Formats: sequence, structure tokens, C-alpha cells
Amino acid sequence: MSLQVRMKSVRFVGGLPVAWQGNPIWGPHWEEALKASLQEGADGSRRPAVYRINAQVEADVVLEIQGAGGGGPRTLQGSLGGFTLQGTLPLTDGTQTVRVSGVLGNAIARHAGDAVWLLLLPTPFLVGKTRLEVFSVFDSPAPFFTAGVWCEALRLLNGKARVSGSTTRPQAMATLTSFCHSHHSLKYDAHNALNAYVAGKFGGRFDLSAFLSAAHPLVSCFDLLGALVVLGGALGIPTRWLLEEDDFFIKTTSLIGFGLCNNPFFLDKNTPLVIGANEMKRTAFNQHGFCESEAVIYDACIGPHLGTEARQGYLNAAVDDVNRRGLPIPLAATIHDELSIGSLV
Amino acid sequence: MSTLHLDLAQTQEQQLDELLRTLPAPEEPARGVVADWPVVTSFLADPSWEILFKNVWSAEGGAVSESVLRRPASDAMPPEEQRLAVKIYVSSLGPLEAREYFLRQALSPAGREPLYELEKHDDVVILRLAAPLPAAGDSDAPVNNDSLLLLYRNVVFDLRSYQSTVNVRRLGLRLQHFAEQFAGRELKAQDAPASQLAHRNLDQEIVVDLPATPDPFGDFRGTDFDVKIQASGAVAFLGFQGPTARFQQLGPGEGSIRVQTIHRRTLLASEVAVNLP
Repeated sequence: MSLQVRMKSVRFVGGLPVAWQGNPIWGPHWEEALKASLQEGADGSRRPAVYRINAQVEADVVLEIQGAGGGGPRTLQGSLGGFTLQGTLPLTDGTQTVRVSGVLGNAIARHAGDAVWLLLLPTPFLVGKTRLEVFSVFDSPAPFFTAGVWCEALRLLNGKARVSGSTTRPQAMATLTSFCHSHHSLKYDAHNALNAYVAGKFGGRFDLSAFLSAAHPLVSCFDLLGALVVLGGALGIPTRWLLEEDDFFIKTTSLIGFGLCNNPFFLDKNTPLVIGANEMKRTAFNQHGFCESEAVIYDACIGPHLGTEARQGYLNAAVDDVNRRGLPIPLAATIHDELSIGSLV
Repeated sequence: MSTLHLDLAQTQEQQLDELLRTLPAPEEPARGVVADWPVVTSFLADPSWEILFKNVWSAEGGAVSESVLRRPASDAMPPEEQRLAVKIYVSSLGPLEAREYFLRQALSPAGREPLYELEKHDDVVILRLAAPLPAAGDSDAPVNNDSLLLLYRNVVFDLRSYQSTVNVRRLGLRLQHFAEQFAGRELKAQDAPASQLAHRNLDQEIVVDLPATPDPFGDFRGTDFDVKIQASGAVAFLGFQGPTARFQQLGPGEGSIRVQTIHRRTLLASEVAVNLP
């Protein structure tokens, strides 16, 4: 009887909590009985797994073997893109559970698609293919991911947001900030700065489902701050929610969705985006929120500011002290921490 | 209907608080709107609106349905795609929770102090968050980014338009008139979807009965219900099995389970919370 091997299931062990459609994912991550409906999109899975970068990933693979003929230990190898899992099994008939393992790289990544499983015999034997999706992140997700980190957020980060390949938290935050500012089809609400995604200026609930598809086109600075906190939190990056409540005018800079601007509420006064510094109709921020991580500032609303300044450096770079009201550059001491995001919907 | 403009001597919170105090006292037992909410596009005369995004979630004492609609740009229309966001909050507990929700939405809406005006008539309160923008160019139809909150008994409508010619105030009143037909029903616990703790067995397995069976991956979108699961501490979620959610106690430590259930059409909600040990 010739050798016959069937994949029955693959269950990742020891990963970080992960959610799909807001609910926790449970294993096995691939099952023969559900293989047709496990696929999501071109290469995704409805049961992804998430690990820290550089982590040793382990999975239990269940095989059904017939016609083995009493062979000795053999290596089972699974390849998913550039990621490889390996383990050994005694090649005997019956149901075998093989613990396979592999080490993830040192960068944010998404490995997805149909993993190819081979038994490494003198002539490699194709066991089968299983749809799998494995993400690597910096650390455990932020606590507001109560059901686990949303795989939909990780897909956005590794896809459109191009955060994959980041090996450091500052690199990932800068890429994320740049994405939110320039590549997510969002515009500043230059009329009222109404919050579209976040509950309020102190944080609270964040509408991540809507943000992922940019359902609301107009945003406030607090929406963008919320997005940085939440999407950074999905990667395991700690952040702080900072608020400056002193009035200030902005230097001419890129305002999200509009380009160069020194007059953020230009629609309210029916004035140009860039206006004379001392013009009476020039508008100012009377409160502004931005994100801090590892003691540097990220602001996707104006700039964008990509983590090259600490608090005072950010204010010096962003604030225009030549203005009609003679408002000075605020001191960093006037910035205060707020509660940040509490829950996601 | 009376219109009240911003009184600079009072904070917005004071004004809103005073206004809400003039609403009729809630009845005992609590009564409110229990409606089978149709798709939001049915409230719009123009059939070219299509649903871009839809979600439901549990909110304080109730649930929110959020729909974002779009109307593609055309030669006859403004140059940008029009969008309309409609959130319907329904309190499962009664009007007091809806008033608190309304207040929270009203007081923390913006990156700047919004201009607003208030209207009140009997038990309807309308808060306009954004002053309308002038008409674009020579167009006769004003193109607005408009926004308003409307409170009616145990329901709050939160409407936003983007580059849209839709009159959000008129839409709000249309939604409120619909709600009026289903007001006055007693908000009984049995109207809410029934999730309940079924049992804990000797293997430390905890089972919560659900009102619907998800697909094998835990997707409830094919059912009338939305169910959200949280397990933390020394509790692991084992998965859904038929119309149940199963959890395992992992040891002697503290843990908690939370199961939130929403009926998608009525937006009535319930919650099961279990703290262990």
C-alpha cells in the first residue's frame, strides 16, 4: 500500500489573543471539515493567529497516516510565504499529532495564504495545503482590545498602511501616522471639527469598524489621535493621549485632506486655507489632541509630525507665535495626559 | 416648536440639563419605542443612496445601529461623493438612559465648541451641532456638512451629512414620526434577546445560552442577533457550539465573562456578566 497522509487540523498554541468580527478566535486554526469556508479574501483566514516578533511559533498538526510501512522519524515542514514550521513524527499508521515550530522574523509581518506541507522523505512528499494567516506584532495588544486584537486592523496595517517590515516601534508609528494623514481618504472637518470616530476629547469609545473603511470622511484631531492609539495598540505599541487646551495658531503646514494651511477652520469663516498671519479672520485651534509614544509626538492631523520631536519641540514646530492675538507658543507643561481609549466598536 | 439659541451666560451643559428636566417624567414601569427598524434608505426619497457601512454595538443601557450611506458623484450633483451617517440609539431601560446618552453625545462632540441651536416640542429635543454652510457656488441646493441629535423618549438619532443636499432635520423628524408609531410599549426584560448563564459543570466549563446559532466561525450576521463575547483573567473562551458560548475556568485566579446581545431589528439589548470565582 502506498503512503497516504491527510491533514486533519492545525492548531497554533501560545499566541496572543486575536479577534475576528469583534469576537475571540478559537482553534483549531485550520480544520479539514471547514476548509472550504475558512478562506477570507484572496489569502486570509477566518481564524488567524498572532505572535510577538522573534517569537517561536508552535502549532499542533494532526495527520491521518496510512501505508507508512514502519518508517523511522521524519520531518514535517510547512511553508507559508517566507515563514517555515517544522517538526518530527514517527512515520507509523494512524492518527498522529505533530508539534511543529518556527521562529518569526524581527519585523511586523503578515504571513498568509495556503501553507504547503511536505514530509521530508528522500523525495519530498506533498501532504497537503492549509489556509493559514499569521501576524507578528511588537507586543500584547492594548487593553481596550478586550476580545483580542482585531485581525481586520492588522490586515489594514500590513496592507494599505504598509507598516509591515517595521522593526522598531518608532518606525511603525511614523508609517502609521503618515498613512492616516495622507492615504486613508480623510479630511479635516474645517467647519466644526466634529468627532466622527471617537467619543470625545478625552478618548472613550472608538469606532474602529467604521475607521477601517474610512466610512466617515470628515475627522477631528481627536479622531486621528484615537486612530493612532488604537492602531498602535493593535501592534502592541504603548501610547499616551495628550491634550493642549491653550489656544494656538498653526504655522503653515499640511492639514489632513487639504494641504498647506495656517487657518484650520477656513470653511467656518469662508476664508482661504493660507491667510495673512495677522488677518482678523485667521482661525486657531482652541484645543488640540496628539499622540505620544516613547517620549516623542505623532500628529496625523497637521504636519504630519512623525516622531521627530519631544513635547516642546513639537509645539515649537507646529505653533505660529506671529498672529493677530499675539498668542505665544504654549509651554510643554501645559500639555496634559487624558484617559485615552476605553473600548472599541 | 420653540427654538432656543446659545445663551452665552450659561454653559452648554447647564442649558441642556435644564431643558432635559422639562421633559415629561418617565412612566413606571418604563415605556418607550419598541420598533422593527427598517433599513435607513427607506426614509430617503432618493433611491440612489446605497449602504456603504453598517454596524451595531452595545452602548450604555441599550444599543446603537450605525449606517453610513453614500450617493456617488454625478454631473448633476456636487463634485464629491455625498455621504450620510445615521446612528440610532435605543435604550432598553427607558427614557432616562436615553437622556444621559443624548447629553453625552451633545457635550463632547467636537474639537472646538460647536455652534448649535436647540428646539423642543413636548418630548422631542433637537440639537443642531453644526451651523449650515453657505450654498456652494451658484447652486440653488445648499450643500452641507450638517449634523444634529434628536431625542425622543428612549431613542436618540444622531445624523451627519457630508457634502450632501439631504435636509438632516427633515430626516430626523421622519425617523421620529416612525418611532412615534411604536412608542408607549412597556420595556419588559422579555423583549430583549435572551442570553443567560446556563450552568457551570464539574470540569469548570461555563456555558452561556444564546438566542441564535452563529456559523462555525462565530459569525452572527446571518441571524437576527449580534453577540459579543469577552473573557478575561483566568477564563478562556472555548468557542461557540450551537446556540451556546462555552468558557473554561483556567485555575483559581479571578476572571470575568461578558456576553452582550442585541436584537438587530429592535435594537433591544441585554448583557450577561459573570465574575469568577
